[in-house]
Amino acid sequence: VRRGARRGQRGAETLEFLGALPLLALLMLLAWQGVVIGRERAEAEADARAAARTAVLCPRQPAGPSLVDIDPAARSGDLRLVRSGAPDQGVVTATVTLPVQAVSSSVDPAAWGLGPVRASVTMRLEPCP
Amino acid sequence: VRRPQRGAVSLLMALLASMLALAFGIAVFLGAARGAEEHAQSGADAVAHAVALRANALDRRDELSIEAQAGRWCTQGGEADPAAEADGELCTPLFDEAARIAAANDVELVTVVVGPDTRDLHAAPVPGRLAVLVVVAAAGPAAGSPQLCGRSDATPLCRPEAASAAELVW
Repeated sequence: VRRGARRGQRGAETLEFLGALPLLALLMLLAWQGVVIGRERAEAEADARAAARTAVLCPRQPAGPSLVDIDPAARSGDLRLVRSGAPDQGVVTATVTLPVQAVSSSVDPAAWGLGPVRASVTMRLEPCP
Repeated sequence: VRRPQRGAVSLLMALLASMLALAFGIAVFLGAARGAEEHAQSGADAVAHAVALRANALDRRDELSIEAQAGRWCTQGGEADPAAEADGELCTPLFDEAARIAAANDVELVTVVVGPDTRDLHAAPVPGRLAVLVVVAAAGPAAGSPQLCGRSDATPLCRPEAASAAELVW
């Protein structure tokens, strides 16, 4: 009887371990999601800088560059260019918004308040000759 | 005999879960630090570019260029030598422009230097190109923590700094 009880307990431990595995897997995904968020934030900053650099040049495109022009990999993001200030002191502000890519369908970064990431860069417009 | 072993398994699982949660936090924190470094670099680029544009548009640009070639530069921040400074009236518009663009980009000015392009140095005072060097700092993810960040802690976590240089074709 005692040997049977011990076997039962061993089975229970295995079941407990297996039951906790999904939780561990979820936490591993979360850790990886953290890495992805960091990468996306740096990406947004770099894209905003590149967009501002392009938008200040003369001749300027009327609508300015699109996000795909700047970063072909950023297909689902958004780029806004706002020009302001006096003509001789005008500036352009490039704001890039990138959604945080989910590492798994079981992790929704937006639901956890972890996205989207946003970056803005303001540069002075170059005068047109 | 079995109970302590079961406790050990639970303890191990709890430890593993804590480590993974900690890994998530560290990953987000380091990602934010990387983002802050990029932000500082964007700010430095924007300020250097704006100051170079402003310098080229100065009414007394040639005068500033000759002053700079004579060793009297425009320097803000750092350890500036008053004897090696250009006329304040020449430099003020450049510093104002640097402050305006730094504020627009939410970065703090550390150093602004406007000097000559050494390739244009001549024995006679002839106007040449002006080179701009800028250092700025951004707020890192741990900026509000007195435990992690001292007052002048220029680390990526606390106060990442970035430098940029600019010069316009004249």
